[in-house]
Amino acid sequence: MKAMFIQVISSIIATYGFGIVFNIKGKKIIYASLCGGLGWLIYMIFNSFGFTYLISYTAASSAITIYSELFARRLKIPAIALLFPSMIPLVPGGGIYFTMYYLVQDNLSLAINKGLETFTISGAIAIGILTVSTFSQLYYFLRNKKELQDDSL
Amino acid sequence: MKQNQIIDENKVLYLAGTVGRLMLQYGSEAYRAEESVKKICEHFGLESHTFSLLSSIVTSINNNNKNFYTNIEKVKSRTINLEKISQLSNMIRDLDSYSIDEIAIFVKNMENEKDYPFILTLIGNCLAAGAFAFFFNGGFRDFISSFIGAAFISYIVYFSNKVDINNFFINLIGGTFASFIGFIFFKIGLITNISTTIISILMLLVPGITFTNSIRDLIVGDLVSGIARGVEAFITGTALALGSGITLSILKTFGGI
Repeated sequence: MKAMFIQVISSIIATYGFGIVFNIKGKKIIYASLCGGLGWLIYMIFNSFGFTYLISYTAASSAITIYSELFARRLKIPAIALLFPSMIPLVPGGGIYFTMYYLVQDNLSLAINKGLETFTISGAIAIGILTVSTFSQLYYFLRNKKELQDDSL
Repeated sequence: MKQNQIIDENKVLYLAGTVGRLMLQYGSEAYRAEESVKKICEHFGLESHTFSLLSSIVTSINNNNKNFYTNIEKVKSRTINLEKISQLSNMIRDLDSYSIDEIAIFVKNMENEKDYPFILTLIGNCLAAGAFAFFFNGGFRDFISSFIGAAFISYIVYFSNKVDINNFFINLIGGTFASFIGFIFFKIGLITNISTTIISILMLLVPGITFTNSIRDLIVGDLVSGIARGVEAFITGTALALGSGITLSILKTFGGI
């Protein structure tokens, strides 16, 4: 429990730091860093219930995309302004590094292991993001259509 | 936009191309840049076709008299600058309230607007690296060494960008210095586990977002830019691993660790 708390707090701070690096200004950076914490929290909750890491990553990336889509409308910014920094704790940056590191160290089997893991994690995150953003597009499309119909009546 | 108003096609094309290039330069996805260009051209009543790679954007428009105009914009350097992407997207969302000259002024003003100063970016990097030390189950000592190491690394990257070294070598140098800094802190006895510090510092440079976006592009069907992004991520990863791996093995050979 304590380890979970520390990890969530540190992912919030890490997202905040990357928010500065990505030049997000004003109160948007607070929303972005909370989103980063949320993503890691969801991941850890799913993980502690014994789901595989693929499902956990998909759930976490879906959660941050829902959050970003909701708050992007409120703050009047594109969703990626919140999504990019909050992906930071989830994305397998270390995985790419370790894949190449094992290759440099001549440890082929570990390199392949790590490489495949990195690839699947990235795929899981991408699928989570795409599913939510496709459905939100669909939702707003249908809603706008309905409003237009109501206006014409 | 009034239908009978005479439009200067070259002006529209130049403006649309500039907006598309800026979008790519500030790290937006390929489809967003293409859509922005298309929207601007449509707004001024011109039919347009756009094709965007990671490093260039090609726009071709034709007017009612079937005169064709083409513009190619090349993107030299790419960073992630979400504030400017937000401003551009907001501008494009309510294009109706801008005339063509106002758009030109808006783009110019936005380009000249100052980002966070370097010192704040440095602190942001330090905070992120320090937080990653806890993230990888490190203690307070790991936090301190990562914090200080990140300051060095971000200064080195800043300086290398200023003197225009190519990306591969920047990452190679970054990897080398990350290992070296970890080694120094290990030698003076601040940390007991060298790899936590190294990976925390390198998290600032690793291309996690690029790789995830590449998969995302591939799934959506932007095959060319997806592959380009993926290759970019792997080249960056290779540079980092080469830099830090070679340094570590040299230090190991001399009996350092």
